[in-house]
Formats: sequence, structure tokens, C-alpha cells
Amino acid sequence: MSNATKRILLVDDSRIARLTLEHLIKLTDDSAEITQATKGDEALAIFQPGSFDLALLDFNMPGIDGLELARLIREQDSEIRLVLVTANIQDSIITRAQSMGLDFLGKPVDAEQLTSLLKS
Amino acid sequence: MINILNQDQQDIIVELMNIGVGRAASSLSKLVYDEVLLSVPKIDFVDIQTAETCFADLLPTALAGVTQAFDGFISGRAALIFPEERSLELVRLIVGHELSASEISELEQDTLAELGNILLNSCLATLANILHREIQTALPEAYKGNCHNILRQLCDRDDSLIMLVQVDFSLRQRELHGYLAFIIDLHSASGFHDALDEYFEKLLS
Amino acid sequence: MPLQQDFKNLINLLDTGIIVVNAAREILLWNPFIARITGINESQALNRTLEDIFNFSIDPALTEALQQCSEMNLSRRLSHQLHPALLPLFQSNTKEPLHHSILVQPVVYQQQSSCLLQISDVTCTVRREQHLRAAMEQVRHLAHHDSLTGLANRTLLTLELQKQCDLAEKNQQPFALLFVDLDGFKLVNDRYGHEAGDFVLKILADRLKNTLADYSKDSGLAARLGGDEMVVLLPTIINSDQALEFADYLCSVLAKTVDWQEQKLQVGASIGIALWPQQGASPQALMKSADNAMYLAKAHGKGQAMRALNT
Repeated sequence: MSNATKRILLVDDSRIARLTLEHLIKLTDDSAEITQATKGDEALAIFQPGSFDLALLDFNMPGIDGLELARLIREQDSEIRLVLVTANIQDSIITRAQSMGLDFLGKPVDAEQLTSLLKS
Repeated sequence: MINILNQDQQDIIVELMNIGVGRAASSLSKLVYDEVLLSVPKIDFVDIQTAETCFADLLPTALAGVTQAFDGFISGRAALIFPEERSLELVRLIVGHELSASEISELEQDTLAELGNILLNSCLATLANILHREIQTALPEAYKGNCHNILRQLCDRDDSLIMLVQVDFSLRQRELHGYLAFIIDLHSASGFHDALDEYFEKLLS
Repeated sequence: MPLQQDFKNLINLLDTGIIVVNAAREILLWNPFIARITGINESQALNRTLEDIFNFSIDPALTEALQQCSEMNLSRRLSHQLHPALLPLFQSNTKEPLHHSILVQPVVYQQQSSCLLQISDVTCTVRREQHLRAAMEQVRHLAHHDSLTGLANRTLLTLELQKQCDLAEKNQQPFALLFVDLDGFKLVNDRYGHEAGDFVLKILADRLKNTLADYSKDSGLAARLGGDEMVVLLPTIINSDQALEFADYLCSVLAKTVDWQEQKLQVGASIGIALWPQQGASPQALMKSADNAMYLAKAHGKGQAMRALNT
């Protein structure tokens, strides 16, 4: 998984958040292919099973939240790696994410954490 | 004058506010041993007349909340604003009391001041930290008033830059809507500009 | 021009605890107020760390606030309600906990980045509020309950009965209303005095409450309308036979003797049963039906339960 070109889906309603993540991803892996969506339903419209290796989902979005989006994507694709991104790192959210088998990134995203996530 | 900040700069602030409010939610949830969801549906950059109109339209006349001053790369005053009868409701939702809204409690005013303090500190500190700047906050003060005198209290000049942040609080299946207002002294606005531009440069590099 | 000693004198007079710590949490200033409360004077406190002085039992919220203060220059208010025990402080005379709030602010002291802690004693306020709350609770309770028996009063009964009617309408689930009138109560009062009468009322009211509680768990309401008239709201009834069964049992419980000053007093009960919706869909209609049924029971020889006609 580590050496093939990573196809990454970024979902966040904040342009700056998407820019930041894109920037950090490129620092680690210049060849990564990044697709962006601003909301849950936009992401679902773009999504095809098997078309992405990794999805980074913002928790707090208008419409469906990141956890709900993760659930819907997981229903279609059991292989894709899903990561929840949020500034609100309270136990109830972390527990729900973990029980769904999601990885977790706290905002502001730490470059090191993202790097080790991408490499593993 | 509202156009003092361009779209890129405003977008950066929106994201930083989201992070600040998100972090405050996780601090508050530790205090109340319950889930706290805070979201920022809207941010507006306005002048004082527009702010007054906003408040007059969206909030009833009697308001209550918390203010605190800040100083550093930006200086000014920040406020957490609720419709008055619901401000103590926030405290009671969190602390879980049997007293009704009209019963007076000194200790609860104290608690409201602290809740506002946590929220405002989180937003201001996040702004400063991520932009790699310094900021200092003063102690919070609880207040009661109406939309006119609150803004007058916060803005000592008519030409301040006002950032109005609408916040939705969800606690134990109850919803509360309040506002964060950041009144930024214009003489510090250029420092703000530079910090935001620097950050944006880094993002694109 | 005030001298340095003038300022020191002012700090010494303040009616608030003042502590200044540096970034390593070492004490730089410890005022007489805090010295009095802790029993540790300034010379003993200086240069020790806060954790050390308070035996490592500092609330993590305070530690976090101090960290944010020295690292990020943030001021924090820590309220007593959210943090009941920030520091282990006790009243010097009674050894009771001293309730306090703490304000934390960044400050430069002796040319070091430091934190100023202001510790306010809020014990009086806490006590006052506890009393206020207890008093309000009492008032609230008295507004809805009979002071002699502790049963609900007419006001509360009317409210609950209306709620029950609405609920029954919504879920189409019947319930019963029982009017309980004590037989021979007047006789007890006349023969043994009002003290005896009150005592009997209290005992029987308790029996009523307990019987109801056993039968219907947490639902249901027992009320006193006045004199020797009580009412039972029974929400877990399916049909009138069940209601009669309960009422008969209640009759037997209330008929048992009451021990009073070496006397065995006996008072029975006549009970009238009305069912929603057959005997009434509104509180008033139900009350009237149950009342009438109760008179029927009395007419039939007392000490028994009767259902309203057309049950």
C-alpha cells in the first residue's frame, strides 16, 4: 500500500482546511492524487467503490456529519481506509470513530501525525 | 471598511474559529462529563450599525453573557452573547440544577463567566497559536443588557472591525443558539492582515 | 509617591488569598489571608512548589489553567460550581472545606513571567444558596402537598388528573380514580381528641401511599382532599375488576387497627371507584362519579369498595 500512488479523498466544508491538508499531504507524498469535496452529499456523488485508497473526513459539516458519511462510504467499500478529522476530540466522538474502525486526526492537523498515517 | 479582510483571509479566520470552538467543546465536555457539540454555522464581518441590526433581528432585547478583553497581535474585546433568559439555562444544562430560570444565583453567574472564558480563550488562543503570534486575555466579566448598550460597551469607537460568529450549542439533546462577537481594534488590524497573509503563503508554498 | 512597602502593606490587608508562582510553580508571594487559611506562613511557603505545599492534591483544572497562563498568557476564571475542590482548603476553626473560586492571570513579578492566583472564599455564598434552595424546595413542596400527611393536595391532584386524562386519550389506555372516605373518623376525633385523629390520618395516609407504591411502582398518585377524604389515581388498571380488587385490598389494609397510646383505634374506609372513560372523560366527571360511588359504598354498610354504576 505504501509505494503505489495514493488516491485520496478530502471532504471538508472549509476551503482552508482542504488547502492545509492538501499542503501537508504533498509534503509527505508528492505523487498523491487528491480529490476534494465540500460536503457529504457531494462526496457520495463522486464516490465509487475502489476508486480511493484513503478518505479524510471532517467531522463538523453542514448536512451529514463525518461519522455518518464514513458509515455510508463503508457500506459501499470495505477496503478504503477512513480517517475522521476534527478539533472536537472528546471521548464520545473518539469512541464512536474507533468502534467504526476509523482512524483519528485532531485539528489543527499535525504534520507528523499525518505523515505516519500516510506511511502506515 | 468591512472589506479590510479579503476572501482568503476571511476563510482562514472561519477555519481557525471552527478549530477554536471545536477545542472548546472538548474542554467543556470534560467538565460536564457529557457530549458537547459546538458548531459555527456563520461568520460575518460587519460594522457597528449592521451588528446592532443583526442582534436586534435575531436576539430578543434582553441579553446576557460574558465579555473579556484581549491584547497582542490583535487587541479588542470578545463576547459570548445569549438571550438573557437562556444564558443561565446553559449553565443549568451543564451543571444540572433544580432552580428555575428566574431564581437568582451568584454562583451561577460565576459559572457562566467561566464557560464564556473557556470558549473565548480557546478561540483567541487558536487564532494566535496557528498564526504563530502572541496574545493575552484578561479576566471575563458577566454582563446583562440590551443589544445597543452591549455593543457600545464593547466598541469604544464607531469604526471598529466586528467579527460576529454564530454558534450552535448542543448539549444533552437540547439546543441553544448564541453568538460570539469579536471586536477588533482597527489599529491592530494591519497586524492581523500580515499574520493571515503569512499563513496563507505557507499554505500555498 | 507610594513606597514599595506601602504596596506590600496593602496586599497584606486584602481579604482575598493572593499567591504568585513562577513558571516552575515556585511560590514568589504568599499573602497573610492564604497563610491564615492554610496555617503555612510566607517564609515557610516561599520557593516551594504549589504541588508540594498542597501535597499534590491540586485539581487538574487548576494545573491546566496555570499551564495555559504561563505558556499562552491566558486569564482563567475557575468557578466553585464547576470545580468544587480546586485546592485542599479548610476553615481554620471547624475543619470544614472552605469553598472557593480562583482567578488566574499572567503577570510579570520579580522580572519573571508568573501567574497571579486570587482565591476568593465563597463559603457564605454557597451556604446561603443551599439554604435558599432548601427553602424553595420546601415552598414548592408545600404548594402541592398536604402538610399533615405529605400526600398530594387538591391542586396537584387536579393537575395530575388532567395529565392522566390527556395521556389516556392519547394512548387509549384506561385508568381508575378511587375516592377513599374514612369510616368512624369523626368518632375517633370526638372520643380521643384531635391529636389522635391527626395521628390516625397520618398512619392511614402512609398505608395508602405504600399500598399504592407496591401496586403500581412509580406511577399513581395519592392525595388528600381535606378532612378524612383521600383520593387515589391508579394508572395501571386494565379493567374495572382489577380496580375493585385493588380497592378491596386497600379496604382491608386501612381497616387494620392503629396503635395510639396503648389504645387500638379502628377506622375503616368506604371506597368509590370510577373508571376512565366509562364514568367520565374529564377530571370533574370522574371525581363526581367516584364520589357518588363512595356514597353508595357507605350506604351499603361501609368498610367496602364499590364501583360507580354503569361500570
